[in-house]
Amino acid sequence: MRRPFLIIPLCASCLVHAGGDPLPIGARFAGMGNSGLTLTDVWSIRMNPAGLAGVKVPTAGMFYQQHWLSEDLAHQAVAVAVPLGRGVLGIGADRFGYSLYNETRTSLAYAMHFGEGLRAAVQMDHIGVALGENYGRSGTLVAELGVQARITDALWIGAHIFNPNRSGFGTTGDAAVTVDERPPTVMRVGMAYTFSTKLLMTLEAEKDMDRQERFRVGVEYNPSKVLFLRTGVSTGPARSHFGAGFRLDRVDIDLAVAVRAQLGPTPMLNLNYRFK
Amino acid sequence: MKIFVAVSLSVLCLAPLLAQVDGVPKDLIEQRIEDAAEQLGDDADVDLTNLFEFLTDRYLDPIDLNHTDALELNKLLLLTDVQISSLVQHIRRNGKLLSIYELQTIDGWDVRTIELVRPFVTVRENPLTTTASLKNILKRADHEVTVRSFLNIEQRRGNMDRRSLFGKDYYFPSGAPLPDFDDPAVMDSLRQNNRVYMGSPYKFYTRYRFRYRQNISAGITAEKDEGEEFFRGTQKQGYDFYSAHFFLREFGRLKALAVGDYQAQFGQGLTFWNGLGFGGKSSFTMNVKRNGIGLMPYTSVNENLFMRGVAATYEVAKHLELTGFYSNKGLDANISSVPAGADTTDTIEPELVFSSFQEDGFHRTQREVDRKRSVGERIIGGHLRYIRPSFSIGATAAHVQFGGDLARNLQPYNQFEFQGKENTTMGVDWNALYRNLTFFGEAAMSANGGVSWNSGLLVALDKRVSMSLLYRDYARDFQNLYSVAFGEGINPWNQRGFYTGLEIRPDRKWTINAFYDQWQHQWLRFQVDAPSHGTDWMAQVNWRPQRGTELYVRVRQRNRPRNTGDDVDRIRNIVEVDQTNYRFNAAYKVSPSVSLRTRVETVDFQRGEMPLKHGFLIYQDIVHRPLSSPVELTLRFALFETDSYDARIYAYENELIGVFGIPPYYGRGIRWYGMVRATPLRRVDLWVRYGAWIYQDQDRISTGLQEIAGNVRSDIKVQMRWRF
Repeated sequence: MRRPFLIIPLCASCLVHAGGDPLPIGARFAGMGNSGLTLTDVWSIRMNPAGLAGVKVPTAGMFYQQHWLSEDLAHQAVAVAVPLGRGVLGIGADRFGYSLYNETRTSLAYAMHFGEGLRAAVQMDHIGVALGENYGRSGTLVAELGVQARITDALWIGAHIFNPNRSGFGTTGDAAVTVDERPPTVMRVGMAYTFSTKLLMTLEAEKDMDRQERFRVGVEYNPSKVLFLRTGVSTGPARSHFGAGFRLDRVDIDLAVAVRAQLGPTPMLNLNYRFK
Repeated sequence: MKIFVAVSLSVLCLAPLLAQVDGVPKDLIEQRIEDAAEQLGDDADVDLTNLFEFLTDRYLDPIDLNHTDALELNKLLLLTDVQISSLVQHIRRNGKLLSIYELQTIDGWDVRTIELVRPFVTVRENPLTTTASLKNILKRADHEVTVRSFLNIEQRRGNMDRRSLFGKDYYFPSGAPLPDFDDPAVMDSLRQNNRVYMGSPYKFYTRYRFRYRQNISAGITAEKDEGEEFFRGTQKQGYDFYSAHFFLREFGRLKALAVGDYQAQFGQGLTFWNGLGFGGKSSFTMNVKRNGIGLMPYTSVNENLFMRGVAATYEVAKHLELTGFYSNKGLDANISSVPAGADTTDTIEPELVFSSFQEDGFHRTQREVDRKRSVGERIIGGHLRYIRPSFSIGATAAHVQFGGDLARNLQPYNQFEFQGKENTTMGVDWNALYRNLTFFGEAAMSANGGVSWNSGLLVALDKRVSMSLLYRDYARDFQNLYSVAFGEGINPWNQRGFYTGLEIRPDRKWTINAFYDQWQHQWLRFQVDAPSHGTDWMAQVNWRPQRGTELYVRVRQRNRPRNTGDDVDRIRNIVEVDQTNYRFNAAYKVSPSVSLRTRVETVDFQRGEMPLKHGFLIYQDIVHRPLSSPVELTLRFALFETDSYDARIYAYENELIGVFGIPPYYGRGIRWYGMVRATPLRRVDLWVRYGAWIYQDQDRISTGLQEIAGNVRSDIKVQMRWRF
């Protein structure tokens, strides 16, 4: 354990919020300041499921990240998107933490196009939280809704709602003090402007019921067919993001790093495979 | 020329009239109302019923642009004065409009403007005459019956003695048992002491309206608010509030006749103005001129702010119109002393003394019932207006007499405000168009000699740039209880200030609006214990890439004086209250049947050295209006968090037709609503709306008898409208 002092405050904050925050996943989004509400990607299942509707061929992806280079704060995920019927079916699973504290999120999403200018999706997640050796684990079902809409050919707007139904882990504690624990309700809206086939910019806002609002900006620059360069900034707390992507024949490789001044870098990697 | 015509046709003919099913288009008027609500700014309690009625009337019977005047066009609230004046001058120079397409050639009339007004205007060669026979009138008239009810799902404390229909009964926060409501002695005591409401927690509203074009209107409105009794006890006559009107317009030289309930508005609102006033500080920076439109029928349910009696406007000579009005009704007031043995209802009783007016119209407890129409109000007045195409000048006088003495709780700050039993106001207002200038204003004097005036100028500096200027000088001793004037707040006294507004349209897709206003108060004000001054500015950039899509970003910063909130001994110094709002708003149509709206708004509020209060609101709306189906659906989901009530954020909400809401969002939680409108029969519309506020970390909502146990406040509203 390289930085054991980090674990304690982190877990304390997890307890306060009872876990279940929709942590951003996907190295492409992470490279753009954790923005991507309007983008289409297999990892849209962890950003805005409406984006799955833009996935044209079956795609599978793997993701790995280490918060501030700590093995105990690792985050692993898999995601699959399969065009099915009139829409696209998405499946995702991820795990964050280590043996004494971990969160899991398993998702099923269905996304559809309504005409050319509208994509919408519904998603169900099972969120599990396991705590220590004595406290056991608890889980709950959470709904997500997403929409992406075209304003002009170059400008899209996206919106995503996580846990609108305020489902919770139930109440804990003794008779005197009960704590009503639930994953936060989160709402995000944002837009992306495509300046040219080479340049895309995003601007997004997020409100998590338990936190101050956050803002995110991102840039994706595409100098050649194969290479993508990304950067972005996110607030609450403020971080710089950098990333690169390589789009090969059937494989995408995305790398990203989010840097927080006080805590250092968080590297991320994902591999996507397209079945043609 | 061919291209011009083709463009015009595509722009004008594909107007969203497609969405109409039975006469009035479904979304059009609602959109206009929302624009108007935006103009009103932040006000939780607006009542836009009259505007709604006016737009509906104009849709069914459009204004003939060749036979109208600036006043009537102003009433639409869709055109700026600069646009109206260029239309008037265009007609004067080039003769009557040959077709509606000619509008595009007029300075200041862009495609957006034409789209906006298109449904409400027409072009005719000769004016329509109103010489229809009575038989014809009855045959062609529109009748409308509306019934509506609001049901609170969570029981309020005031209704704790009743079981909630939805099983959400009230309980005390301490867990103490509720009183024994079966014991008549306990119930009597609760009622006597104003601890419970006397009536049921439901609101009922019924209305009948008769309309023949814009010429005849008649109707009856009745309303019972939540908590008021219904056909029993204190409300033996049934509903708590009844209103009826009969109104004629444009019968030869008789321009208007009102019998029953009506409203009267003149000039810039300094001398006499009854009801809501449009035109003030808002993102519509050219709409600073108020347009006193004279008499209009009253169809709304505010129980105090209207006139009850008779009024008429008559064309006494060419270009000269005379209006006379008389009103006699009771007002809700807080009585401080009642003369022994006197009957105080609706009569002029000189010995009666009251300390303030009560304008909420609620009569739910014995105390509130006792206030009902407890002071008589008699208003008599007149307005004389000389009208030419390019200018008009008017004179207004009004005398009001109360059935008692208004004796305010006198404080240094309110010592110049109206006291006593009667008051008279007189004023002169003017309007003139000259080339690219519109010049307007009003000066008024009250019986005690106080004088207030304002004067404004609207200039079309360029095809793309317009400017508005308005100076106001409101004396601290000017007294008028019937005024809605331009300024900081609506009261035309104790204020001197200068407003500058700008509107730039660099091309058809972009609009930039900005204003700056600064003012000073010569005397103290409520919670401001010294003469003071303030500023207010706003800038907004609008982008309309195509029809149905509009994005804007707005910044508004207000700096207003207020007493310090710090604990100071005796003398309170004045500190600045800084409030900054940032808003992003997008409204966009993604298909002919689906529209979305997205908003993000933040506010920072700081009073002196006290901690900064921050607020944030984010919402997403979806409106689904299928062209082929009789059902439409509106949904909103919002998250909000504000550090205090000071940092609240107002947002317009879709409501049942005829209901308007711009509630403040504050605290921390979720707001969502869903509304379904169905048209099961050709002339019958049904609405059902469910809305909920879900607060985080809160186990009580509201206070006093309005208190709700728990963290959820929700309601169901249902409405049926039948037109025949």
